Amino acid sequence: MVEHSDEYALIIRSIDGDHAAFAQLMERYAGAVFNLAYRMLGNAHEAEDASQEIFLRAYMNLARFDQARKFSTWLLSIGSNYCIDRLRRRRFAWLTLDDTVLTMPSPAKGPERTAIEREERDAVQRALLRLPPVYREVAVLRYWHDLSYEEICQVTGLPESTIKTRLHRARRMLANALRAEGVVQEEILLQE
Amino acid sequence: MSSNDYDRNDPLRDTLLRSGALEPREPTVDLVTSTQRRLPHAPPRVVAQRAATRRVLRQAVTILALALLLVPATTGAFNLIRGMETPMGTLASTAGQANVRAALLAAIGQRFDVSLIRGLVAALVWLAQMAAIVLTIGIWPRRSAAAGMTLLAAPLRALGTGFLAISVLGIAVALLLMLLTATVIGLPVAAGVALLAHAPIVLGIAVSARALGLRFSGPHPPHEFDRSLIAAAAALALPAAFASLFSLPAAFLTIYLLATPGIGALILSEGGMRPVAGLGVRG
Repeated sequence: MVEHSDEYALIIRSIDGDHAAFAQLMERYAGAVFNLAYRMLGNAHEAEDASQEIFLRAYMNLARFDQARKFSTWLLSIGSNYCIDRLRRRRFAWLTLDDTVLTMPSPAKGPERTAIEREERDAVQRALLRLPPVYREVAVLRYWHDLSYEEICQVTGLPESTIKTRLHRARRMLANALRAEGVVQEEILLQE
Repeated sequence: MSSNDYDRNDPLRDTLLRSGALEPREPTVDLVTSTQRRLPHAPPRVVAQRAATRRVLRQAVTILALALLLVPATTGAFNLIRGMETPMGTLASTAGQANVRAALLAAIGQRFDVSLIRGLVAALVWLAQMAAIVLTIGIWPRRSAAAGMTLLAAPLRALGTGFLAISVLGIAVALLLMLLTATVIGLPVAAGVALLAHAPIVLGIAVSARALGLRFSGPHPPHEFDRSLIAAAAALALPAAFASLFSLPAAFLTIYLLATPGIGALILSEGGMRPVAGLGVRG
């Protein structure tokens, strides 16, 4: 409760143009925003750039923030919308072969990636990137951000039934992708 | 950010946990400092007020434009229903369009050779098309390229869609012009509408030129102007220029025909925002 009232005070100060207050808000959520962008976009440098854009958008729209909502959910909703927009824009970004190697998930493991754990983490990230953005979004919010259905509804603005259907499909796709990437050898038994 | 409704025995979650993939990743730069440098000086409260003002202004302009269109159109419709004489009708009856045309041609013919005039008109038509194509592609390089790729990827669909769109546009504009020219106050609005109706044609012909340029340059699309694109624009502007040697309506018809597939590609690619997958386009 103390944390929330403190957060509320920071938001009010930020709305009046106090950059230091907004910096404190950013410090609290930089990790969450960066990780959302990284899981959605699949590239650390792009995720850093996206995180800055997300915070800038949040700052510009802060006066419209409904204080009945959780700030974290509101921020993540800006983040997930921005990442999906960015993925859409990528569709018509001309790519040279070098760009493709840099941004596309590589099917081959590089020689520097020798640690098994690192390889497995990378394989999970590649599996995640196989999912279409709307399914990736709900999977990231559910598994990486540990959000409840209700919170995912608030972030995406979609009804709970849609979230449940999307999450069900996302689970199935992710399980298949994990098998294809060799993270698991056998089929993951998903609960219906 | 914790959930209270997830299943602790979710095997997928267990797999992700085991792999270590759920561990948060750290950014390599200080996000807070770098973002703070980019924060605008205006506080969010002021930004919101400015945004609200812009919204109100946009709405006012929209309402004004609609009124400018609807008021003379409605008055024109009443004039036509009542059978009143329209300004265009008055012009036709007093001077006679054919007489005006003949008088103009005679006046020009006295001073210049008719074939020279026609040559100049053809050159002007060619130049106007080139300027329109170059400007459009210069303003929207990526979107025009994406629409051009769509045209190459689905030429028949683009042609069909373009034909349908241009037919609908033609009928709608013709009806609107008929109503607007039935009143005196509608005449300047009609001129504006006739000009605006050519905006999609300009966009369409630019996309057609872009597609032709991409076809000339091969599978790797250029970001900017190159020789292939200029050659394509020059070639595409030729038929209408040639047609204008014989008749101006024929020149316009040629331009509409050449713009048709480009308009279709623009619609299919949602204005170049979502291109139909083709060469060099990911997604």
